[in-house]
Amino acid sequence: MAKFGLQTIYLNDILTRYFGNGKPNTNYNELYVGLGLTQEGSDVNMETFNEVFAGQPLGNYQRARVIFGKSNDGVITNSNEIVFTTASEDWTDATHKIEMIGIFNTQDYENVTPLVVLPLPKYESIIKGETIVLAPDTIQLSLTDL
Amino acid sequence: MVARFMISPKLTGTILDDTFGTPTENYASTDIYVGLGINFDEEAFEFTKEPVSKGFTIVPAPCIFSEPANGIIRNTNAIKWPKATQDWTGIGETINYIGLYYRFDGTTAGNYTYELVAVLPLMPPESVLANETMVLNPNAIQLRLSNR
Repeated sequence: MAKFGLQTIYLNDILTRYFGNGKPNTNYNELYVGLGLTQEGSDVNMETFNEVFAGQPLGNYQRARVIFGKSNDGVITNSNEIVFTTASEDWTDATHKIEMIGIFNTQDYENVTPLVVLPLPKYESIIKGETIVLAPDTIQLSLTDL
Repeated sequence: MVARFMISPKLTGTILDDTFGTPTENYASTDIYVGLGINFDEEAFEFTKEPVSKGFTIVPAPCIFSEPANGIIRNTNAIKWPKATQDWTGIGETINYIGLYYRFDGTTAGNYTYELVAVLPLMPPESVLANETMVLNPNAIQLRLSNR
């Protein structure tokens, strides 16, 4: 079963912090968007997405900073233009495509546990010289189904 | 009729801002206090009718929840109200909702104000008449977050 959206680790964190067993977060979190790479024909572990984000694109790829504005009517959206570095070599190939993005609280790509996983409307290929830009308001997050 | 667990718009915004944006609200305590509701206005996120009077059924002791597992927490202890000294529900009327509140210190000792932060349906709805006792068993309150 697909588990796009807020991941269980984050849902558990909310329930702990806001329903009597912890304290709300009061520190500003630096968040990053990571690209999820899937291989055609291979299974994706939809519980953890580990393979998706462990198999980061090649070369000079690194996660891109995302900044969210203030929530409005139960929805929070990115306020900045999310810009990935221009690929110095092909990040995808004939069988590896970017089909989803993850939101992480670290730029370190060895941390493969996303807070949020979102599918892209269509898969993306990035070859040398190209980049990915996500416009403001592209990412919309809610605690319920949008 | 609300058929699911709902978090108030204010707390929803706070959670989103705390995690993804800039934290602004700093709750001193997130202990949860439980009360009951008969009618609920989803738009205003408030009970429009409660047993006897507003805040009458809010239990003074906080509800203890389990550690979360798979995005779910449950109350670990039974929640018991004092025996009703008058009818809490009228003819044909039922308690339909469980309300979860944050509590804030008032201006004088022992005087509190409450903020309704979440609502879930009471299943099945219950009527409570004079001399009856309302009890919610352990695991009766199940909070499940899901945006899938």
